[in-house]
Amino acid sequence: MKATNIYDQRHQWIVFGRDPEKPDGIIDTNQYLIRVDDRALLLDPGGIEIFSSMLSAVLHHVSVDQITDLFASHQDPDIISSLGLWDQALPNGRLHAPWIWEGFIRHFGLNNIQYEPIPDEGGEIHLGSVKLNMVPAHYLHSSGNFHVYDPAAKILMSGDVGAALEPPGADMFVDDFDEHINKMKMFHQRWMPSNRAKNDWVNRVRDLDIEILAPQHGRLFKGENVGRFLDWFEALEVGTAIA
Amino acid sequence: MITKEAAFVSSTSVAAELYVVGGVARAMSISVKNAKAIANRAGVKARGFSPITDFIDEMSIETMKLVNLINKDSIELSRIAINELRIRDAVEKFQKVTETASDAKYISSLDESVNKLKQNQHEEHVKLYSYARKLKNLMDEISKKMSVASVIVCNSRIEAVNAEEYRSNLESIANDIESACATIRDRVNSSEQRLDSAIQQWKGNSQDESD
Repeated sequence: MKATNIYDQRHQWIVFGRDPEKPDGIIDTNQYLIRVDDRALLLDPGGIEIFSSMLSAVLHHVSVDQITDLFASHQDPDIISSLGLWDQALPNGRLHAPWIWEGFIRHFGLNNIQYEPIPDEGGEIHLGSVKLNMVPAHYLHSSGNFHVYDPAAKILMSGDVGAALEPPGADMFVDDFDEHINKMKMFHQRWMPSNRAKNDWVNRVRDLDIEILAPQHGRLFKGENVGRFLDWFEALEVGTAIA
Repeated sequence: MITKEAAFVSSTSVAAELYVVGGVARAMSISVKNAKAIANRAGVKARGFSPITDFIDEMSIETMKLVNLINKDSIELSRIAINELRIRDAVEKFQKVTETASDAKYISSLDESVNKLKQNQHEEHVKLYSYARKLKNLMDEISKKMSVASVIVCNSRIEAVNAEEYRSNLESIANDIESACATIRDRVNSSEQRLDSAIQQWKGNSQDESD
C-alpha cells in the first residue's frame, strides 16, 4: 500500500491508499494516520479486506502500542469493518465515532477498544500536544457523520465529501480540477442526500483555514483547489435519485 | 457423510437438527399417552401394555430433557466455533503482516498481540473439544434410549395381539412410536456425522497451527 506524507512538521499526516493488493470489486480508500510524538491516530482505518496491507504499511511508521486512537467518520464497512481486527491488535485503543452508530459499529467486533461516542455537535481529540476538531457533517452522506480538522496542519479530513471514483493507481492530488469534476460529480449527487446539509457544511467549512482537503476516496485537494471544490459543491444539486 | 460444510455451520446445524428431535419426542409422548388410554379401556385384554407405555413415556420425557441440554450446548458450541473462526482469520491476517512487512521498523511491536491471539485460539480449541465431547455423549445417550425403545415396541406388538378389538389401534400406535424412534435415530446419526466433520476440521486447523 502506498504511503504519502502530506504534512511533516512537529507532527505528521500520512495517507495510505492505492493498494495494489486490494481485491477487485471493492472501492479504493484513503486511510490517514496522524502521528504526534509517541502517539498516533488512524482516521477511517478501512475495511476488513485491506487490513493486512494497511497494518503492514502502518508498521513502517508507528508501533501498535503507539496507535492509541481510531476515528470512524461514520458506520460504513469501507470505513471501519476492520474494527474487529484492530480490536485484536490494539488492546488499549479508543475509537471515536458518532454516538448514533455505536450499537451498529459494535457489530464489527469490539471487546478491547473503548468506544468514545461523538456527540452531534462534535468535539475535540487531544493527541498529545495537538488538538483536533471533530466537525459535524451529518447527512454527508451518513445521518451521523464527522470530519476531522487539524488547525495546525490546516488539513480537513472530509470523509466522503470530495470523494471521486478513479481507476487504480491514480495520483494522490488533484492537478486539473475541471477534469476531476467528472470523477466526482455522480458520487456526490447520488451519495449525498441533502442540499440543506451540504450548504450548511459548506458555510461552516468556509470559516476554516484549509490547505488540504483530504477525502476518503480518490485524490486530495490542495491550495486553490480547496476553494474551487467548495464552490463547485455548493452549486451542485444533490440527492438526485428521487425521480 | 457431510464433509464440505464449514465447521461452524456444522456445529450450528446440530442445534437445528436436534430441535426437530425434541418435537418428535413430544409427539412420541402424546402417542404413548393415547396408547395408555386405549390400554386402560381394554382392561385385562391389554394388561401387558400399560407398563410398556409407562416405560416409553418416561423415555420420551428423558429424551426431551436431553434434547434441551443438547440445544443449549450446541448453541454454545456454535458460538465458540464462530469465535474460533474469527480468531483464526485474525491470526492469518496478522501472520500475513509479519511476512509482508518483515522489514518494517515496528514489526516486532505486533508480537505481543499475535501471541495473545494464538493463546486465545488455543483456549477456544480446548473449549470446542470439551463441548463437542459433551454433545457426543448426550447424543449417544439418546441413541441408546432409541435402541431400547425399538425393542420395547416389538414387545408391545406381541401384547397388542392379545388386545382383540383394540389390537389395530394399539398396533397403529406402536407403528407411530417405531417411526418416531427411527426419525430420532436418523437425526441423531446425522448430527453426529456433522459434529464429527466439524471435529475433523478443527483438528486439521490445530494441526496447521502447530506446523
